[in-house]
Amino acid sequence: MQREVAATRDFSRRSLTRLLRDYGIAIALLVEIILFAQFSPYFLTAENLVNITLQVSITAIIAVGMTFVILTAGIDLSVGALVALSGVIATSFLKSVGSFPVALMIAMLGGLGVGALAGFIAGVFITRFNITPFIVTLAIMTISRGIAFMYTDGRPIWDLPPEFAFLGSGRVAGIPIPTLAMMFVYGIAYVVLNQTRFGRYVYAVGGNKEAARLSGINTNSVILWVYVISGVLAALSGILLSSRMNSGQPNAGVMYELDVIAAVVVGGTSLFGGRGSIIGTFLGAMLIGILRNGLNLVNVNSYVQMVVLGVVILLAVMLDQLKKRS
Amino acid sequence: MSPLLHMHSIRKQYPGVLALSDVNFELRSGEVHCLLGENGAGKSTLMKILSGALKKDGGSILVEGKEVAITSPHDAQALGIGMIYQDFKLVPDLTVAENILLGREPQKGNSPFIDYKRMRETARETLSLLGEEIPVMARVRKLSVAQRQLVEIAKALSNKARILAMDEPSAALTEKELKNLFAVIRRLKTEGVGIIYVSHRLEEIFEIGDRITILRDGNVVHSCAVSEVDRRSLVRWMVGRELEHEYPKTNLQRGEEILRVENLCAGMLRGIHLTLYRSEILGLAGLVGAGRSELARVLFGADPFQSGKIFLEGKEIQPRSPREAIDLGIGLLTEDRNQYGLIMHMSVRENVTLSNLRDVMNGWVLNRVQENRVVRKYAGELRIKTPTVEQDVENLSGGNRQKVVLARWLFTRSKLLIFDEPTSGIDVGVKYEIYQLINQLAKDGLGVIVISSDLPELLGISDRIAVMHEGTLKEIFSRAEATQEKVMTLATGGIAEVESAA
Amino acid sequence: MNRKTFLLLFLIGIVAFSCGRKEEQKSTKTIGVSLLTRAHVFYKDLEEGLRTEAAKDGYELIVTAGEFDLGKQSAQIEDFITRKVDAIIVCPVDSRGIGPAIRKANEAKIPVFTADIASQEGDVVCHVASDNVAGGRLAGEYLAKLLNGKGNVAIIDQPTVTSVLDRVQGFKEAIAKFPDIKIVADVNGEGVRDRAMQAASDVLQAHPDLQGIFGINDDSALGSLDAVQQFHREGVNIIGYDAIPPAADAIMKGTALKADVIQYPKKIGETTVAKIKEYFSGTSLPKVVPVEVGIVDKEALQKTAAK
Repeated sequence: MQREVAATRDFSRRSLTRLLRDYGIAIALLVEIILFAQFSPYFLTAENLVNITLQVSITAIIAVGMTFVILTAGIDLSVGALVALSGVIATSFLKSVGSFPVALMIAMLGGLGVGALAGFIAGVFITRFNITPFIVTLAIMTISRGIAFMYTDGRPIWDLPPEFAFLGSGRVAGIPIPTLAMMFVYGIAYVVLNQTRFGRYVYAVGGNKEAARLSGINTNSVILWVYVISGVLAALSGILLSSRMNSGQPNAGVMYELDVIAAVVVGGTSLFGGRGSIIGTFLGAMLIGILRNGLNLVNVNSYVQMVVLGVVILLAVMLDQLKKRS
Repeated sequence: MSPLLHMHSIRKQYPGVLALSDVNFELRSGEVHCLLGENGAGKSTLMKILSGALKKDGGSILVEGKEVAITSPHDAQALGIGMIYQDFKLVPDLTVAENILLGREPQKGNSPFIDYKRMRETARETLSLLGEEIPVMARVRKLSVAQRQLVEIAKALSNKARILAMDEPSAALTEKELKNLFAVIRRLKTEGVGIIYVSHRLEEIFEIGDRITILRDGNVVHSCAVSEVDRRSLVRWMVGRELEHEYPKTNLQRGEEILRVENLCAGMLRGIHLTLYRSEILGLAGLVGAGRSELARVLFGADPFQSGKIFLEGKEIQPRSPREAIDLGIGLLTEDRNQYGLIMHMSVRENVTLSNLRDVMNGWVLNRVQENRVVRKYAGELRIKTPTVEQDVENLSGGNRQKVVLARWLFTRSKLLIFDEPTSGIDVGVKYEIYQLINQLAKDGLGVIVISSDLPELLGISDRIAVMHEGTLKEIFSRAEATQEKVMTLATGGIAEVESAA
Repeated sequence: MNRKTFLLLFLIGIVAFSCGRKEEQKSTKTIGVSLLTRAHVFYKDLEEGLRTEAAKDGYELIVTAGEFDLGKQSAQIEDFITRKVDAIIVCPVDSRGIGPAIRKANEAKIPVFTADIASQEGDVVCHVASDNVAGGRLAGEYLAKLLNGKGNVAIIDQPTVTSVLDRVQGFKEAIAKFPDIKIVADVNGEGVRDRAMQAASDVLQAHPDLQGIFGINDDSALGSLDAVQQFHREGVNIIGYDAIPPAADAIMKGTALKADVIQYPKKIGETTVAKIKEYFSGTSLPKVVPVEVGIVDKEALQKTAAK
């Protein structure tokens, strides 16, 4: 009899750890939502949910590119600076070239092009000259930020055509455009990572670069492309963000790289490469975004917020370790 | 008197494999105890448990009669257990003296500064104990393999090691260096050090060993004094059956030429000439570092070549990347498949199709249904033991991992397959299956090159044997001509005695 | 020649060279300046103030900027010490980190003045800066007037910066005089427009009845304005700080951004040089010299524009 009780207890404990292990982040997210709903009557309002997805969209889009990069065992520290650089480039093009629809096209192309170029340069240095991604993207980060300041003389670019604001502030069927953009990017990324050759190669290169090469994968080209993707998505976020602010801010996106890396890692992607998922990244980005929103909603002191954020990141990563050990 | 070391009922379980079951091992002071067994028999696992690198799942370890807990390499060192691994654990850019006293640097009084003078003296004393002249201020990077080995031994001794375990110490040594190593071992014996000598080279065991313990499939099959056994029974205990049945061989009529290498020079390789035919298995013999793997990598496009010509089915080729070689129909099963062959935490399915995703595509996207069908087909044909094809390959045993790599190259429709050490780390039973598969490939009309350091294996499965030494190809023997002695003489730099002058 | 000898000769060369420099004769007073940055309008105006005042007395100015790099700024100060300038003005990159550099100047008996940002370490003769407490008070009073002494307000804060803490202190002092105005939220917008926009969005969700926001600088105020506009909220009044051109424009256009506290950076520059002159003439100086601030709204801006 006694033994039976012990066995059931053992079983329930084991199933609980398994539950935590397999759906840890989803559960953490759920707990978080329930907690904040208890403490703030405004948390679950339609308008706040729109607010959350709107806020999360910026970092979540960058996190997609970062997921690709981290899956190859790399890192991209330049994304925050690229948000600023692409934002100021796009907004300045918007002001200087022609009338609205054409100007918007050119501005988008310019902004995305800068992101792609920065990613390409990072990729070339990493693959051709064999320099670690950390150093290369650190350099690209300061260079990009520097150029953003030089280009604008440290001042924001403002007084933009009012139509531009639609990109960041407009809604289609009640859903904000940045939120739609985020859903679109995640959809594409999911297909690319899970259903295409390139996606498979990304996992393989991160899992074991030399084995991937000897399996006939052009590892350099895979690595080059993930940095281009990361740069382009950072630029897309930069353009959406500057539309929301109706200005190009050279000081935008400061420390975004850390938020984004945290989202990716909390989402279960290993910094050593080869393991992770795009859905995990989405949940990670939501977890962190909702945390920031909820703590502001219940008016938690901002010093305390920093500590809470750090603790949550540690807990999430610990959960992930638990998963690997089993 | 209790023995220096007693490992009692040691058990170790890996996922899917019982690596050690109730293994007993005893070492006395001043003896050389040889630990024998094929690859995968459990020798390395036992040594790793002794050195604290692995945790045992059962049993106890007694040092001088007292039970001890070894949970880390540090514990083992503190108990006077020294390990000399095949791939030395030395820091190449530190000096000999710094390496010998790494982690135990003498200090100037109580200051945090290292007393280099004392360090040099201690290192010199320890080395002289071995009767060796190695400059203590030289960087380890500049030393020969034999010298590095002695530095490792000195390092263990300076740490007051009473138990010294050597894992395949002779693997990369020349005849002369080996003699020297034996002299050192004899000297250590007189000092009362107990030595565990792990090897599968029988000659050495009869020369240096006092006792032997033979492991097979994680069990002790025999343990006795060296004087009580002969070579033949040793082999029988090791492989578990008579040698004749070890290698299945079907004689095939060789087909057209598939590969021709003319005067190839690349890196260390000098003037290689080679021809391979369809339905033929060509063995590549030689010592570690003779250039066999290097040749394989060049043919596979993984390394460039400087001059010479390569013809595949009569057409000249210049593979500049593995991708190009694969597209031409060449496949390479690398020596260290965990490191260079497989993506360990990808599934069997993903590993099999990795080199030929093209054939399971539906436009831009992968066709999962077709991919699954393909992989299940190969898993069945090659008898890959796995619960599902979604299992990560890291949970598979060595033999099944090798089959996954083979499935990959079959799926790319290779015409020429190069196996580099195809059976290292693979259980005896599965080895036999691998040999059968290699035979089947030849029967299907592929050209096969096998690189192996296991000479009986190579002689057993090849149609012809090419012997390499220091980057050159010395000689190609037919199956009938080749003997262990002839091949070994050439491989170690000797000159073949031409017996059949006719 | 081996490496060691080369190094030795090289060092001797440097010493000889710097000895030679000592012979230089000085005619006028020289002041070394290390600004926080030259990329910001504020510091450009401050520099202009320094130059105007210095020109009056024929002082020579050596103007450099740390550009947010403490190491660079410390090196600049050490350079001034080597050149034996007569006074040093510094706008510290890091209030604490600049301490050692200032102490070196103290040892060399060169007077150090700080402008805009104070140092927490070392001996500083005099600190010249906008009266941030007064600025915060002005913002609070103006907001209270707009709300007719009643309502809920929020602060978009940046509590890691000393001058901001002063602004908020002044704002709270002013609001405290109106018992019917409640500060319902005080969140960190990190002083940049994107983060401020997000923080303000959260505050707007949590407080559907919000009527006032104090942005501790213009990026915070403009970020709040972005949030208010995106969620189409009526009846929220925003007060900013600094009146940079986009903020002034927003006030002029009649948006939710109603008024801005303005600093007079040029005046800070002028005052600093004026205080140095007093120091040279032997007058004893107070430790802190506050420079007045003002507040501008649509009306005030229209007046200036009309001029």
